[in-house]
Amino acid sequence: MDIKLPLGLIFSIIGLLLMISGIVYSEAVVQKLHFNFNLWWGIGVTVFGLAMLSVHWIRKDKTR
Amino acid sequence: MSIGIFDYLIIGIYFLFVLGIGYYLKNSIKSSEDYFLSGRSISAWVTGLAFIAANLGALEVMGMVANSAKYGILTVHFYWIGAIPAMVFVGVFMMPFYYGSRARSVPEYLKLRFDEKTRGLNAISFALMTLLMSGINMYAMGIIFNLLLGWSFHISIWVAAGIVLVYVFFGGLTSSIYNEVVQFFLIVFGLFPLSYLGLREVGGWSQLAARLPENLTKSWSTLTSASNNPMGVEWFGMIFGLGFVLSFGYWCTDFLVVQRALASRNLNAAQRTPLIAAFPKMIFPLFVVLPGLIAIVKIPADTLGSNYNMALPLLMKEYFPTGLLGLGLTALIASFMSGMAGNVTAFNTVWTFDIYQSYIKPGKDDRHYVWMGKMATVIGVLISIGLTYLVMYFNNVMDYMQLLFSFFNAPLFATFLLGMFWKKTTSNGAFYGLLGGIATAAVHYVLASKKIFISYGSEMSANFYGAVAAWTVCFVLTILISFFTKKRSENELVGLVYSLTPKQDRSMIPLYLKPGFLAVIILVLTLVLNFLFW
Repeated sequence: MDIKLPLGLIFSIIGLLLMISGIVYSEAVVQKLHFNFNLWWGIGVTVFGLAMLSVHWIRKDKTR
Repeated sequence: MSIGIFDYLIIGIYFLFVLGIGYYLKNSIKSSEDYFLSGRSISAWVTGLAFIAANLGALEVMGMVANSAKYGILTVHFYWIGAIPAMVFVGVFMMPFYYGSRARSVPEYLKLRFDEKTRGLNAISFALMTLLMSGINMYAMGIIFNLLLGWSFHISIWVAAGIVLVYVFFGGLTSSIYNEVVQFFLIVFGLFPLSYLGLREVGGWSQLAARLPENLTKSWSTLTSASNNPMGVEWFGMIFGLGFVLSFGYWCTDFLVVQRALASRNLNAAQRTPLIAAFPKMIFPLFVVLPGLIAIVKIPADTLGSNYNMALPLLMKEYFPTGLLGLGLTALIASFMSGMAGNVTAFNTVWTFDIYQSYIKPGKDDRHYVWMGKMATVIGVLISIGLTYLVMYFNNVMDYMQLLFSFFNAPLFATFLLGMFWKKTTSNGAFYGLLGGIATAAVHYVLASKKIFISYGSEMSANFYGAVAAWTVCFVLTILISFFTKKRSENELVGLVYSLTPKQDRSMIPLYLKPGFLAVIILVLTLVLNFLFW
């Protein structure tokens, strides 16, 4: 198993959950931190996850 | 502290993945080498991140934040002096013998190089020590989640131990390594926001430094004498005690970390494992030392002073809104669990190869040893849980045992150094030199704690100098005894000793993959970091 697959999946999902939590609890997050950190960090984590997934799929196609 | 639905979801997703990885990998285990050494097939960046993550148990993470909240920026020495040089050394100079000799464990190398008794001493002390660490790790986890979230101590440790058991049982070392890599990124994503949000609120590094006394924000200039800094150590103790003996003793001889490198697919990858690990290790103070300093400013002194280990969880509580809290807690849970898994995989290997196969049942077929490894995993986890309860009821038992094991570790690096680089080191020299070093550590401890003949500025300083004494005695004694005892013939030592091992041909390896090249970059960067925070 290529480790980029589980890495990509878990961080895409966690990032998405963070983003949603930022949207759902937007008011509470902004009140605590003065900006919607959950949303931005969620985007960052998701981008990492998707990057891992893309590398995994690109490599996989090449080795076929 | 209350945690919400998103926090639970993130924790739940993590559990699901951890179990899934273990389950998925179960079909890839065909031989004992697959189970204990991942079939020596893993690429260097993966083993490198696992190398660093295996060391990043939650005790280490929370302990270093606590250390920083107590001693300030001096904590960086555990990274820049106390880890990087040793990691470079093990990668460049020692890995050719560990990996090249095809030894399956650190004690097995001792058997190949010296003899059965040195291996036995190391295997048994290591097996006990690694389970103890696993038990202490569990105990810390139970306490933290109980204090922070009100979760039941018993349920926390049994659930976490159960999950670790399942994924190590099925997937062996590969499963442990993969989960360590996931944990590594979880820690990065879960702790970076703390440093960022904290520093942002305080107003940047210069503002933070301005609010702290100078001896908490300067790493070297306060080491001129022991009374100038909160650690009570001066530069000699720091460099030779921590930077040389303790650090090299851990990073170069502890099977927990070396095992990750042995799982690499070839010698060059094995050599690069600790070197790749050195890059994140270098910047890790950003994730632990910085939060510690922020804690000094943010958390009231009496709350912080009563239990420094709570510094990290308290900061998370302070800064993390729901959702982000889930990520932070998952990072902590992950490091608790992979800290335990790392110890359990090292234990099952040393138990199976160095104790069971050597002394109890030699000569069985390979499948039998895979079975034994799985049993050792179950028993290792159960003993860890037992030790957790022992520590819970007899808190000081842990201190005594930890102390006892520290005696075993300090002189060990002298044995390896001589064994690998001086072909005239004899088996008896190594064994009795090691015993002498262990005895020295014990005697030094008694004298220093009762303040007979010797006394130090702090307990930490006493530890550093005790390690130096133990190492020196082991080193000198091994050399002396080697002059008078029987040497092994040179052709028995090919591949085990530096001067008798043919140099590898590296002309085909591109420059950026050469261990020596990476080593130079790492050392230069580390030097720069030291100067920046001088």
